[in-house]
Amino acid sequence: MANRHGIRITKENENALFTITAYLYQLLSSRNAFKELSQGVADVDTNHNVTDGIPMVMSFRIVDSNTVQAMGNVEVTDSQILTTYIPGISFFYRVFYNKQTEA
Amino acid sequence: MAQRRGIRVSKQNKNVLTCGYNDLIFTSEFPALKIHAQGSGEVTFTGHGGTATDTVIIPHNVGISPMFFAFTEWYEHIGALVQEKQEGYKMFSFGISAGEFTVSKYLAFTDPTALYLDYSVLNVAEDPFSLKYIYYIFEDPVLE
Repeated sequence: MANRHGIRITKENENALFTITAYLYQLLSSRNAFKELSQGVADVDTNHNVTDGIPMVMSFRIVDSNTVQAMGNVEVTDSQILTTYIPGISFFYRVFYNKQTEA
Repeated sequence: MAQRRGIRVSKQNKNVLTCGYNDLIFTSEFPALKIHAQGSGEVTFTGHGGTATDTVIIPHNVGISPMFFAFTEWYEHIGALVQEKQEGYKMFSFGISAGEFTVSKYLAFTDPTALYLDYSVLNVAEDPFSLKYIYYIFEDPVLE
């Protein structure tokens, strides 16, 4: 925590001066940032609750207690995260407000 | 859009007070990804005899299993025992199928210490051949 200048935004009830970096929100930037809407664990088709387009979704499979694998084969429609190609596999997902194609 | 405190940055010519989330570059209403490290590299397979395997290890020492994006050049299955290198990059992890069988695997894993790009590329005629990769490792854990 050597950097003492700039803007830091914590989650609710966290101390902006002492919270470790992983639990801060993004520092202010002039570039478009990913805006995270929700996250969870699923093993079936799951609603993502974005209603105005197809959101960016990141997904990871649990390999063991410490290791996760990126999953490039999760399909996303305008309403759901589909498990067509990964039937029965439990995975973490994170949904971003950013659209897969932005104007 | 009831919340009236926090920080918002809108796109050019958009009203930061009234525009929708798609027109906000940043809003403190939602968490955003924080990049810990980013980079690129190239892995070369020599003397592979048609079965090219290697694991690229990229230490990150984030301390938790972090979210990441990783992309790689790849070979597509064209015909029996024939693979052809494609233009551009594809996002990990994926397999290349030939009929019912997966002939190549491009897998990316992470644990609290490193990112692992695991290549198993079969039936490539060129020897040696190389594949470039790009990665972004975030401070954010996979699941909080």
